[in-house]
Amino acid sequence: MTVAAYCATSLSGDVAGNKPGGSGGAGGNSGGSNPSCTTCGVPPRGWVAVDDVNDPISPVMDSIPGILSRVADTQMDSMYLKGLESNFREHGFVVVRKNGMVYTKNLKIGLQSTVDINYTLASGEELLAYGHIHSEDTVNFYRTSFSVEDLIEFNKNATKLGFTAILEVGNARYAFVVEDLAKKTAFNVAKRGHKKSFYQLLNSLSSQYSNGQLLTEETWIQYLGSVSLSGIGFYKSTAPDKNNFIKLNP
Amino acid sequence: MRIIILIFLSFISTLNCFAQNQLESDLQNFPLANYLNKPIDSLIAHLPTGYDTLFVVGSAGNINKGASIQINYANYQFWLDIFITSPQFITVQRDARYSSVDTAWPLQLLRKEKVGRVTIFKGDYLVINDASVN
Repeated sequence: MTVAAYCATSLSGDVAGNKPGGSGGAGGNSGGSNPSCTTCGVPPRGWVAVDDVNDPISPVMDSIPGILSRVADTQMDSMYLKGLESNFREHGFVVVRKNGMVYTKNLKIGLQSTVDINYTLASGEELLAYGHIHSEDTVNFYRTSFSVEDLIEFNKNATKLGFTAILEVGNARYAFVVEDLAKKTAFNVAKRGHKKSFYQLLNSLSSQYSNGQLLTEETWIQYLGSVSLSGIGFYKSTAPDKNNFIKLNP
Repeated sequence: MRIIILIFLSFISTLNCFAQNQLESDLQNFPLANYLNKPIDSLIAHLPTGYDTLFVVGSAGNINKGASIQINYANYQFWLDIFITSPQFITVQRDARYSSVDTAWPLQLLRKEKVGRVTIFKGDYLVINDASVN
């Protein structure tokens, strides 16, 4: 993990499900451009410009979301902070592989609440994942997990085993991973459109969870069910090590 | 008699297949780009007929930040997801308390918003037509 990621992690507030009540976390600094970083021992930094294509790394033996999260680590933390400064805009990017190297590219600034992912690839590049951020503070929002629209975006390219959607929410990261193509297709066809059934479940659970992050998380666990049903693995990593994912659905 | 029934059923099936193919062709060739930055209602008014008028309101990005509309054709053979540009009529939620999307974003107001991005899908999320302002 990079220095920037450590710093951003320390600014990101509480761990999953705990809504800070005070000024701690990035939420307390949502309007500032350079919030203080007192616990990580490195200079404070808000948005930092990053190369569109960062230094690629060699994949190591790891979970798929772990590898992709590590590759996009700096970008996601930086984009998260930038999003807080720019009226909660979403940002997106893709992760590709070429000649055995994995790297991010096509960083794109989105609209206020949605981002159009740029999937343009160069010759020889293979699309591995798309990523985006939900730049929410912890004062007004709960740093929610994937939206149902994010699943739809994921499905546009979920045609290969291992294809991943990765989401940065500040204190955590989430991932969808294609783990069974046939089951994924059957699930999508059975739930075509997704929105109606997803919101019905979300509404039914809303009275049980006052925290939006936990509400959306539990909704996804129940909506997707096991991989043997949906073909999609649902993962989460939490601060301080947002590259260490655990699987949430069976 | 049985042969007549079979011929009739075959005829009906062929008609349905033809209608679906025609609808797919119409949606594939629909000039979505012409409706970008125009009210969603103007797009709805010109869509090929056969869609469910009980539009599904959804979110955009996450459950508190913005709205979208989904328009479905019979049995979800095809469907459109429409996202808006900067909202002029609905109120973007700035409240951590969860409220249902229908409550947060009244459909009648949402339909007045301008189209920012629209995608038409079929089957396992195969994109058959799309357009976006960015």
